[in-house]
Amino acid sequence: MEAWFAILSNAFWCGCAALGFSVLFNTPRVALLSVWVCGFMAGLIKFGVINPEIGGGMLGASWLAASAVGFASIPFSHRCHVPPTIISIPAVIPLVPGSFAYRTMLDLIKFISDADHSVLTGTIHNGLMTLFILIALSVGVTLPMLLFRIQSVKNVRLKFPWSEE
Amino acid sequence: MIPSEEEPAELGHILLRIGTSLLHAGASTTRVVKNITRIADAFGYEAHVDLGTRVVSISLDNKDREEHVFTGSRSAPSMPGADFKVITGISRLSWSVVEKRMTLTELKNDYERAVEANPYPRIIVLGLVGLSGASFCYIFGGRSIEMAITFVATIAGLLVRQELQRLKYNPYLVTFSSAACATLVVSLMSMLHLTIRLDHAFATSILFLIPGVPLIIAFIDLMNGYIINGLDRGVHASIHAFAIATGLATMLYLFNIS
Repeated sequence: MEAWFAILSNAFWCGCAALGFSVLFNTPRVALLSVWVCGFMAGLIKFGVINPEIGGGMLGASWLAASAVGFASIPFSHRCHVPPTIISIPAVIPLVPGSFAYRTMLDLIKFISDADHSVLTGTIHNGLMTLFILIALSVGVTLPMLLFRIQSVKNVRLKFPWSEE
Repeated sequence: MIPSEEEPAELGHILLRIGTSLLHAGASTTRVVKNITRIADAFGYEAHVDLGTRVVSISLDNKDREEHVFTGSRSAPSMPGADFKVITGISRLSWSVVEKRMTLTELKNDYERAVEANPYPRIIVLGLVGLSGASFCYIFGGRSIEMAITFVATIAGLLVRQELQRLKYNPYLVTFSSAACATLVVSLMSMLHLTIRLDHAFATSILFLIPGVPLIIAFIDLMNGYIINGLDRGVHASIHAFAIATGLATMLYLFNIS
C-alpha cells in the first residue's frame, strides 16, 4: 500500500514537471492536459517497474515508459490536432536521468584532485547510465513512428510489419 | 485556377519562410520536409527540399508540365529554440491547404497568423517552470524544504535566462549563466546551516535547462537518415549540457561543496 502511494505521488509530480516543460516550450493550451496525463503515465510506469516488488532495471523502465508515452501521444495528438512530438517530448523529460548526470559531473570534479580507480569507475558508470537512458528515451518516443511506418497521425491506418504496402 | 507567372516564385518564398520558421521552432528535419512538400503538392508543384539545421533550400517543379519553376534558399538568423505553438500552427496550416483549396494570399495570411508570437504570460511560465523544478526535486527524493529551495532557484535561473536571451547573448553562455545563478541560490541557502543536505536541490535546480528538444530531435533525425542534421543537433545539445555542468561545477567549487 505504502509502495503504491509512493509510486502514485512520484507519477503525479512527473506530470507536473512535464507540464512545466510544456509551458517552457510554448505548447498550445489544448495539449497541456494531454501532456500532464502522458507525464503521469510515464512516471507510473517507470516507478512501477523499478519498484523492488517488480524489480526492473532503470534502463528498461525508462525505455518502457518512453515507449508508452510514444504510443499514447498518437491518440492524444489526434484529439487535440497537434503533432505527436509536441506531447511526447515534454512528457518524457521528467524521465531524463538528471541525478546520474549530476553525479557524473561531481565525480569528474573529484577526479581532477583525486586520481583514484574507484572514482573513475564511478564516473564512467554514471556517465554511461546517463547516455544509455537518454538513448532509451529517444528510441521509446520514436518507436511508434518506426513500427507502424506512420506518415502522419492525420490518417493513421495501423500498418504492421506483415501488412501490405 | 490558372497559375500566373509570379505564382511559383511567391509560393517558393512562402515555403522558404515556413521552412525557416519550423526549423527555428525546433521541428525535426522530416517534419519540415513533410510540411513543405505537402503544401507545394496542394498547389500542384513538386518540391525538392534540402535542409540543414539553419538553412532551407527548395526547388519547385511544375507537376503537369514537368518543368523547373523556382529555386531558392534561405538561412535562419539564429540557432533553433523550441516553440511548439508555431509547429502546431504550421502543421494545421499544411492540412487546411490540402483539405480546402486555398489561394496564395490566404496561405500567406494564415502563415503570418501561425507564426505570430503568442507566448504564455511570463508569470505563468515562471510559476510552472518553478513547479516543475520542485517536482523534479520530489521525484529525486527531496522533500518540502528542498522543494521550496528548488522552486526559488529555478525561477531565479529562468529569470536570468529570459533576460540574457532578450539581450541576445550567445546561447551557451546564457545556459552557463543561468545554471550558475540557479546553483548560486541553492549554495547561498546551504550556508544558512540547515539541518539537511541540499544534494537534491543542487541536482534538480538546473534541470529546467536540459536541452530536451534538440536531444530527442537529434535522435529522430539520425533514425530518419539525416545524419548530419542529427549530429549537428546532438552536438548542440551536448554543448548545452556541458554549459549546464560547468555552471554547476563553478558554483560547487567556489562554495567548496562536495
